[in-house]
Amino acid sequence: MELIKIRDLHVNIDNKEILKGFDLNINRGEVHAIMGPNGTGKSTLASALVGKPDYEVTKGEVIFKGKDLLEMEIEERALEGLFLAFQYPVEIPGVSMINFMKTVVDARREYRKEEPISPVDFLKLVKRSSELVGISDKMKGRAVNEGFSGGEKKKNEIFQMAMLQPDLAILDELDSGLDIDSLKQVAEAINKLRNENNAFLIITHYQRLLDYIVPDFVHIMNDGKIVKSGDKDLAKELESKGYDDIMGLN
Amino acid sequence: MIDYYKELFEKNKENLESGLQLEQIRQQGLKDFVRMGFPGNKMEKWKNFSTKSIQKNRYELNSIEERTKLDFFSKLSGLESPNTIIFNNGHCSYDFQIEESKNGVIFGSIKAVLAKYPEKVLKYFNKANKQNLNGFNAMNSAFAQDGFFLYVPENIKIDFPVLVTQNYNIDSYQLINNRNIIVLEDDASCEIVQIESSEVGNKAFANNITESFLGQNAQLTINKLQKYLGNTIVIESSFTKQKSGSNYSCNIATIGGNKLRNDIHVKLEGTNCFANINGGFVLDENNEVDNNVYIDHATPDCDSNQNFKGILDGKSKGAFTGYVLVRQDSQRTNAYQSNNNIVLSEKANISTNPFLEIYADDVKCSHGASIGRLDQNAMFYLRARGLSEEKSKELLLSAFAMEVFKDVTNTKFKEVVSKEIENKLLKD
Amino acid sequence: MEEVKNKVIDELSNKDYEFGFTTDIEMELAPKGLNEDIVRFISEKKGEPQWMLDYRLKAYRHWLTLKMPKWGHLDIPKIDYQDLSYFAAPKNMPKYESLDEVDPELLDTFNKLGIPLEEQKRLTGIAVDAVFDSVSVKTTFQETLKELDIIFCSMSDAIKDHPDLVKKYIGSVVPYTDNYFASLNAAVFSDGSFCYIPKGARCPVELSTYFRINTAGTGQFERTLIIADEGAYVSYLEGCTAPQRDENQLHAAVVEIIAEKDAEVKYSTVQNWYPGDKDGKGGIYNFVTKRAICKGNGSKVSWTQVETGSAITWKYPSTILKGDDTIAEFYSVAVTNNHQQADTGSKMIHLGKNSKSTIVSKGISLGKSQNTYRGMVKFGKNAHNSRNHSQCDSLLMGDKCGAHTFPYIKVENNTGIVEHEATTSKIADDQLNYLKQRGLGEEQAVSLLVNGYAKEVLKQLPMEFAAEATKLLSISMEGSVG
Repeated sequence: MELIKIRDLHVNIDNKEILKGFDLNINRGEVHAIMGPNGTGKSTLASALVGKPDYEVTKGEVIFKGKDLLEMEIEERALEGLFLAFQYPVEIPGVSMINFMKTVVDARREYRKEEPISPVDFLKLVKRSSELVGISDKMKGRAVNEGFSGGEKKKNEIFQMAMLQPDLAILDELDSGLDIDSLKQVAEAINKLRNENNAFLIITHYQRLLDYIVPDFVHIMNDGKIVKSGDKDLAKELESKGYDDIMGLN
Repeated sequence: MIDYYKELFEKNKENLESGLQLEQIRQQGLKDFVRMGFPGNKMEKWKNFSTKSIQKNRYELNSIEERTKLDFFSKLSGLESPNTIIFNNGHCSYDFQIEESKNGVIFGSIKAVLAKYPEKVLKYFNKANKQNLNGFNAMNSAFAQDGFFLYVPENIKIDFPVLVTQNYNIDSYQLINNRNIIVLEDDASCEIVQIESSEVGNKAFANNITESFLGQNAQLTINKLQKYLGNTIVIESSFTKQKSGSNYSCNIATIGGNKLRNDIHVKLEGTNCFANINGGFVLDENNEVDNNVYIDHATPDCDSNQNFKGILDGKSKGAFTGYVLVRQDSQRTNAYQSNNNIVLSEKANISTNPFLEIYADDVKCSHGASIGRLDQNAMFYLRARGLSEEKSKELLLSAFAMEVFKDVTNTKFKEVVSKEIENKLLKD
Repeated sequence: MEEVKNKVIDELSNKDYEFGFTTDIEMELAPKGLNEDIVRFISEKKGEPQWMLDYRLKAYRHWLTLKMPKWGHLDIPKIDYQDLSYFAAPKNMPKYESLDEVDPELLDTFNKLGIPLEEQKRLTGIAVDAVFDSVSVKTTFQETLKELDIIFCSMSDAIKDHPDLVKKYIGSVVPYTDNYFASLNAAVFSDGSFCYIPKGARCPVELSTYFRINTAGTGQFERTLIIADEGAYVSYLEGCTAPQRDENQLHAAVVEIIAEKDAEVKYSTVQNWYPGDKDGKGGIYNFVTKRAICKGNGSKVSWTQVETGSAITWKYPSTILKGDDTIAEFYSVAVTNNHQQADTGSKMIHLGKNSKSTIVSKGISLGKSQNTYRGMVKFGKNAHNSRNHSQCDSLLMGDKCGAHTFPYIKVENNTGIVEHEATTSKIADDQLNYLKQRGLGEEQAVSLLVNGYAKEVLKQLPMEFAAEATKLLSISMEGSVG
């Protein structure tokens, strides 16, 4: 079942075209990986999908769960079930993780016309999610991302994902800042959260992450669009041959 | 205009003296007031606070002792204390005048305490506000009517926070001069929660002074909520003197205010003192708040900290002036000043002046000030998690302002302040 | 260790002033005192047109209504303005056609100061206008500049030769009503430099004015006017010295800079007026008004100053960012020693949209000196999306000096961002110990750290000047190198 359909997407930043006709379909139950050299527009894609201001869509359409995604406000996209694990999560001093999560969970429930979550259920959900990702109670008590190490920030993103259980999660350079043990732990959490109803879009520069989260499809992006698609073996091939070779630049 | 106050003084002299017998203090106050007059905008320290609107009104001396007890407690949610004193329009309410406990603590209206123990009060009256620093301080010395007096003997720790409430609600131009005195002997400790408010129709002008004396190793915490509605004009001056090893913490949450000035003077007179002065202000409409902190490091090995944060909306005007003076012999001083502000509307404006005047070399002093917008990256992050723009804004602003109260241990106070800030933000 | 430190500080305090000699040359002096006749005398001596005299007289009359400003963190002894001479010039030598005509004594003076006036020394790539007491002695490099239609001459010549430009711009940034000293200057200014860079021209050499006070009992009041027309670029340097005298001498200059659309002006000063002796006797009172306007969109003004001299400094090089997308910078190192007092800093007045300003100020206090940073950053109502970042650091060496920071920040626009940071401390012991562990002596370590501390500012100076400034700083610190 189709979850998201991206057609001929063009995105400008500061009047400079970064995405130049990007196409991609993702069905429920699928894991897609987008790879490519730096500066090809991978992160721009992620930011444009979640609606970051200053990312101007000049052409194309994105249909998410049958609705026009590009018409929606930032928060509407999130409430519809789109989640971005940020490459650089923002530090928000003074806003405690717990207060933040409670507010977000309730915002979601309100959107679905559900009652606010009971404190008991909320704490259960927090416990389950934090155990899954392996974050400590101490982290939960602190302000959002404040003073977190690079790795802690990334874990915190996946913790939030586990809490919110989105339909489509975009993981932007998840492996940067994670040591190998944390990477394995986070990948394991993601594999546990994988099911036939949700989907993942993994944006990564390196193949390393894909050893632990095995994708169904691998796409190679260059200069604002997908230039080659294949299965998980494409990532392996890329690792051994390098981008230039794969993309036929040599 | 000064002549008017001379007349006002003569007219009310007996009445004033019958309440608080101060004689020379009053005469000196009047003399200084006549000499100095109202501070003008040309004076460096009064650049951000115009006294014109005070000068144009002919204030009467408020002798209306309103005995009705206002329904404060509904607003206080959990701040109730066995040690409570209530002021209406500057006068102590009838059901509480003076309380003396077995361990020697004296707490009550300064009127009642002065009548019973004149020597106790006069020992401290105008000893921290020595020179009647400006016209308003002098005016207070001349016209002081009431206030609270708290005396904590050596080694005594008051367990419950002392609660002092003050509410102004007079629909004519009345002048209120309260004088509060807090004395903590060596090793004494206490916390005071002050809730100050006014009603929409209030026109009274309050010009109050609090003098605090901290003995060696004494610990004083003042947690203050200011929420003034209507045309209330308030000048709150405090003078604190600290002996060695003492610890003074003052946390002021200001929710609006038509015209409000806080003057906080701290003199560190003994070694190893700490003064920690924090303020958060949330302003909108035509609110005007001017915060001034003066810290005098008169001895070595002391630390001071100032942290003020402002949120300004509507046509509001905010100001912060932080002054750190490190005298020549005050080596190994650590002083920190910080003032960060968020301006939300086109018409609001803010001045910040973090001043350092340093005459000793072995010091670590720094300040940081900023004026800016809401962090757009944080806004995006919250919205990308599904929070509405309004909710994200409120969450960020509230966290921004509450940060200055991070060291406040009284969680009830923090809850009340947090609620008030949220309400004020939501109103916009 | 304390002992060594004291020794360091002691030696620093006793450091001699290198440029303290006097030049023995016959001077023409105006009689002491200030009145309308003196103003007329100056104007007449300089053969000025009527409009200039009228301007001076207006300024003089306004000055009479003013009082000396008292708001600085300065202890200024009473100045008797009637006990000063307001004009001094080398006798009978108002204008030099060729260098041969210049009094050899005078040439020698500038040579001693390291200012090359001779043709063969012009290889340094700096065009110099040398001002000796009240008059411009010689402006070098004229031909090269002429090819580009760049005007660089003394103010006196500009009044005669380019009256329209002078009329249009003089007093347009610092009006004669601006402040006490600016008013005084407008009435009695003697000479100074004028420079005009026409549309689109990039001045290929650094323009430089060298000021020298020589005669006793005189005040020096130069007026400098720099105009960069659309798209023009110029880098301008200013240096100054004065002989060692027991009396205090007054220096009240005005500098005005106008940057039109897309123009860029870089103004660098190494201020090394005689600071007085170690007991605080003598030295220059340096009360200077310097202000630039980024008048056109996209213009840029950058101030860099290294302040080591003067008994008292009162100076706030400022920029009005009037145009949109304008940039202003202020980089300052101020060293005060012995009994010196400095109250200096900058004002950044943002009026245009997307205007950006930077302030970096490094103060170093030694001896019994008082060193104050005073600055203002203001965002007007229409200064949308403007930014300022200020960093003001103070270093204290010795426990008899003071370091003070008085920033004033006022914002009337909700789209701007202002950030101000400041620190005051002594040299960090851990840094000192680290360097000593690597084998440096205390003196060397201190000198190294101080240079590092000032580096952010020094690196802004044009190359030719940076060397001089670094030398000057290390002279101030020389005691520590032994």
